[in-house]
Amino acid sequence: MWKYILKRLGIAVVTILIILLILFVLLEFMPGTPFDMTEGNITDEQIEVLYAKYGLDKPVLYRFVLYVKNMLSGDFGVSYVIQNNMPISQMLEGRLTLSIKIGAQAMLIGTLFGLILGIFAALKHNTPLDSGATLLSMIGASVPSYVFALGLAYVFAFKLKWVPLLYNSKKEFISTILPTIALSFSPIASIARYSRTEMIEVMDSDYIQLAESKGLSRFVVIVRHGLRNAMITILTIMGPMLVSLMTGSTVVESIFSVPGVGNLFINALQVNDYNVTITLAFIFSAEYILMMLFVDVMYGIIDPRIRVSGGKKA
Amino acid sequence: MAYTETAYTEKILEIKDLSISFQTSAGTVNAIRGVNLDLHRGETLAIVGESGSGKSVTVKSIMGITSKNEHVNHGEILYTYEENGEKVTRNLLSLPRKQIIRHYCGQRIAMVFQDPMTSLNPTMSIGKQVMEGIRKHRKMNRKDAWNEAVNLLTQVGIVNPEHVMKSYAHQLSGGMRQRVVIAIAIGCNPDILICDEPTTALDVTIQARILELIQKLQKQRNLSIIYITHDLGVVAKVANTVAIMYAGKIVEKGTSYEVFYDPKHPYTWGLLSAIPSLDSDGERLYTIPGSPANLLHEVKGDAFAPRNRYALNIDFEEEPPVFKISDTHEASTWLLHPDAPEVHPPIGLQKRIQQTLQEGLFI
Repeated sequence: MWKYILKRLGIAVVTILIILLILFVLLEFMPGTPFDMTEGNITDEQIEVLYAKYGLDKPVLYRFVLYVKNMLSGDFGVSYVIQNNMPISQMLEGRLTLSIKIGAQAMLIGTLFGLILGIFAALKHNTPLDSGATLLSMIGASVPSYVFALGLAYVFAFKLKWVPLLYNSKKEFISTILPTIALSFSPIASIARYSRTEMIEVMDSDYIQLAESKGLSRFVVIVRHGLRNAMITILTIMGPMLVSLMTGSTVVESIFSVPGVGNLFINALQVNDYNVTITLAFIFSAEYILMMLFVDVMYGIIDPRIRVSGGKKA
Repeated sequence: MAYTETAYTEKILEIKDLSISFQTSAGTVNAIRGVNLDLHRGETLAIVGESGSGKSVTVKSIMGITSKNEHVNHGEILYTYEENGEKVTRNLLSLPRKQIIRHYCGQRIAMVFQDPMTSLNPTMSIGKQVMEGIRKHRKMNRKDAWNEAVNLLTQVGIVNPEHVMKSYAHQLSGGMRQRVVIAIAIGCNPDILICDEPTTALDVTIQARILELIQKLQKQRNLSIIYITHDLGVVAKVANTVAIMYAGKIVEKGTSYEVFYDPKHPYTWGLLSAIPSLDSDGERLYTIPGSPANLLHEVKGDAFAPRNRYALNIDFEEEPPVFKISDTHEASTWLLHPDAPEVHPPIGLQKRIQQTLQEGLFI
């Protein structure tokens, strides 16, 4: 198993490097420079001076090697535009953890309620209760999260005043509640749909009948025998979902003015703030790749049939 | 091959006039239409019939394993057992499902399923699956349960039980898996073992081994066994009593000697004629014409009549009652009525019966 994980980590590093290279090349083709937006007119000579200052006049490959070298020592460069000359690592510090935190919370709620809803629908398969649960998850899947965000903000922050309307760094946890809930609707819906389909299939299988014929309680049969087998498929969609939640939602972050990375990423792209864009893209890809690795390891833990050879002997 | 006429006197399970129907999108299917069956202690009963004749539904209703669209119209399943030294008889159909699962399934009545490839949980180690029932019903701690599970696996003929305990289903062969399933079934010392086509999914060479194992366990533990099968070879090998089922009814019932050597129902004749024999001189193998009765429609008369070349006019009009041939043998066909014309089994079958009676082997 460890050999497998190490091998996968090696592949992950190579993948990330390739992604970085592609990003460098793509940004090179982007129209404009980081310095168009600075207020007032800026002459071509001035741009050249700035380019030389930040080393942007060098060839792409040279910059790429240099960037990777610096990155390894934890230096992601400075922001050119958004916050002048501020080191990226410092700029992202609070934002990244906040986005990850909200995303993880949303995922936790999404998984919990999604599974409950899905299992419930599967057990009450083909009854009005099932149709109700399916309808709920359909709404969750098709209505965009900002609609929920606005609704929640209106009811709980504006009318009831239970939570602050806008993000307040002094009341961090309570401020993350609404964004978390708004973000969790989509994972609830997807996980409910997947777990319903999977559970219906699993609960119909012979080993469930055998488990029932052993005289085990319904709960044990559903959780120990049913859910564990259904999880194999559900897990597949959970990895990418968690990453997309953790990379921050621009819309939800805007509505609650959460200082996360979702907004920052869009902003950086618009103003050609190269270092910010590349760092965030790098972090997002790394999150994604690590999550896929984690999911693959989880497969092995849940399903002995996929347990990778080369580890413990069968 | 045991045609010894041991008397089985202690009635343990009695199915009385069981009727079950299914609600489907096409309408109500009357899958079980008045089944009567007895099972005695130590007896092996084989229920034989083609797919869809209701064998599985009948025995699954004993265990309370029912589908959502299944409805028991009427009938009783009386189970007699000893509880605290006293004999108790309970109607399993009148008990709530929860109670059946908690007090009967696994402990008093256990089941071996058809396909060992799919009846073990792929994500749980064999050991855990064997121990699960023991720990729940016999209130053992982990260590005792482990030892008991190893013991059980040894009893079902698994050579390296300790190793198998840590394995997963996909690492075992079909025969091994079926042994594990049997170990799970006998784990809590049941009275009744239901085997739903236990050898159908297995390699022919393994089939005999598994049947022998079940027979050995039956002797050791004085089990009453119900086999569901459409393999008459299995029946001849293991059964004391045979019930032939067609379209949700038992059409003929008797000791296996009676059913194999003195069959009365035309459907039984058809089944027996359809067994391939080694010394046939290139004749076409007999098949019963037509297809199974569609139970979506109300059955008028004898359900087998349209496929029965010996059918009388009354077969299409009125359902035949059960005629007793001996204390143990009965069949439900109008041919047994005193007024019926004399009809004999097909010549080929008669010859075969004569021949095998001399040689002493049917199959």
